[in-house]
Amino acid sequence: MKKTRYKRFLWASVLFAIASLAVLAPLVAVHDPMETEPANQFSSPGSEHLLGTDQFGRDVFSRTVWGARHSLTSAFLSAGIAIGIGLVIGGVAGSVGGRTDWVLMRGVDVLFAFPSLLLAMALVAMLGVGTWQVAMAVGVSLAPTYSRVVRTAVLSVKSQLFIEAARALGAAPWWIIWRHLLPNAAGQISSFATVIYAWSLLNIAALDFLGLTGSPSLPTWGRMLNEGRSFLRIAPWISLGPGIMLTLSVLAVAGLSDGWLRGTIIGVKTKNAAERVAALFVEEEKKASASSR
Amino acid sequence: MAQYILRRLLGVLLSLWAAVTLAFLALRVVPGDPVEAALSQSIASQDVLERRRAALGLDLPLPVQYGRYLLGLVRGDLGVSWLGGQPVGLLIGQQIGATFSLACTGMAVALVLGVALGVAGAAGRGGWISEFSRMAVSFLLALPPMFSGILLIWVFAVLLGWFPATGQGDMRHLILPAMVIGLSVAGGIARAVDAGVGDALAQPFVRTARAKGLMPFTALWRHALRVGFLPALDVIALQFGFLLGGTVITESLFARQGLGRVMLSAVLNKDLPVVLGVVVLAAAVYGLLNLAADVVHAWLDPRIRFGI
Repeated sequence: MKKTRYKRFLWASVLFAIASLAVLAPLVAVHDPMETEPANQFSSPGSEHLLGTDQFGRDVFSRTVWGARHSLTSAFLSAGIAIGIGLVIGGVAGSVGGRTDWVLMRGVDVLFAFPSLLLAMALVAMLGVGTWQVAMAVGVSLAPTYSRVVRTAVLSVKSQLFIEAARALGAAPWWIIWRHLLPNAAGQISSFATVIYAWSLLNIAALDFLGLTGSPSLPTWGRMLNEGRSFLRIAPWISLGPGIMLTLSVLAVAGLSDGWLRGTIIGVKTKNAAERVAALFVEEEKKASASSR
Repeated sequence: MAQYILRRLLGVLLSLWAAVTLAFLALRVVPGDPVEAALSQSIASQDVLERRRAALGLDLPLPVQYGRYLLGLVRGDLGVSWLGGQPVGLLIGQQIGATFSLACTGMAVALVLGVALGVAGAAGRGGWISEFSRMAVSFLLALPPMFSGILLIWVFAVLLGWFPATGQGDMRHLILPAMVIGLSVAGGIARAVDAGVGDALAQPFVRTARAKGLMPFTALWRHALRVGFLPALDVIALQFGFLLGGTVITESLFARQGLGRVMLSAVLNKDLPVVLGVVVLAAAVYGLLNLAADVVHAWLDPRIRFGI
């Protein structure tokens, strides 16, 4: 469908723009993001300070740009962790089946009992406060969801006739997994991977907001939102810039895949409800790819 | 039906036990000495630390500690805070009311908004109404609660001055925080209602209802929504669990008392018994709500009850 392709192109360019800002931060940001200028606090947006300055006279634009670096990379890290764990657990559970599947899925069920943000916070309590620890905690807290989707996607491919045919022809199990299962489940698996990245962005910003990431002077979107909160009356620009950037990046990442809307219904715990909802995601994903072909 | 509920209740208790065990073990293998970390503000001698550890039962072997914790849990005793020494149950009990009223008001906002957007998305049948409502839903899903909260405070408290920006007390203090929770939960509900009602609208019984001469609105309201609401039920039950996470942000943003604040300060101070208590409570709430969702499903659909 043409319309989806245009939309994807639009969001891809937004994401590209944000990512280039992050990569080119040292060039784009004329002011040092940490440099304080007490004489210049709360100056409104203008030619000297594009997005104004904060309570210490630090340049908000520079801090937002450097914040993009932090947010995009730590979300990448934690999405990587979640996707890695999820691929292994969900892939093994789905393709091996039987008792292995039962044990792995009960483990996933247990982790599902904890809301992901609370789980991430508890993991931070365990690992300690800091950028790496937060990325790790968010990654682990999102892994159960991804495992479930991978498993359901693999299962839905596994039940199809061509797999049975390959088995009947005497193909080795690893060949079937590599050549038949994975390529056919790849669409749903990768579509949900972008959803995981979007959720990582949101959860990392939430933990930043709560002040759980390392040094307080480090420019992060979440922390800037928190700092600006106290000065809304005199300097609303402190939190508006990072807030808009954060929302825009989540929208852009989500817009890359249509899986976003479908994926948000996942998040279920008990086996009946969870299977119902995970199946719904994979089902809708199939419908969408069929209609776009 | 009673047998079904009993069987599922047993399942919930089992998974709760597994969750408690996992959380307990994970929080006991913390790197570094947690007591030392928790007491590090005061300069305590080795001797004092030893005594403190013995008083908290941390010098006992791990299986004994675990057994004690489980026994306490059965009696409703969640242990004591490492920081202040108050019972964790009391700490949670004092704050749970504020969080509960926030969560319920927020959920009410989310339900109204979510059902409205979801029905509009499905009933618009791909026209501009559905296009618009689906765009609004993706925007809601991407909107971080800390940003929506700041926008609401800026517009309604600072610029217009209609509501207080912080604190708690009467209904006026509750409206903005509840809006934040509602906005962050409504997207998921709208999505589920959209999918459910969309499927129901395509079914023959809705066409029959229309053919019988029912108005489109009545067919939608009386027939499609009843069936289409089922998938939303799972999502609502689960979002309540998510709400407990959302209240952490909302409470800190609006400087409100509540469980979220308790959890945040416990995490920052490494007060692990309190962290454990809140997490266990969240798991219990989650388990019970899922049970409720399953029971309602089974009640409406006998095939589930008999395991067909």
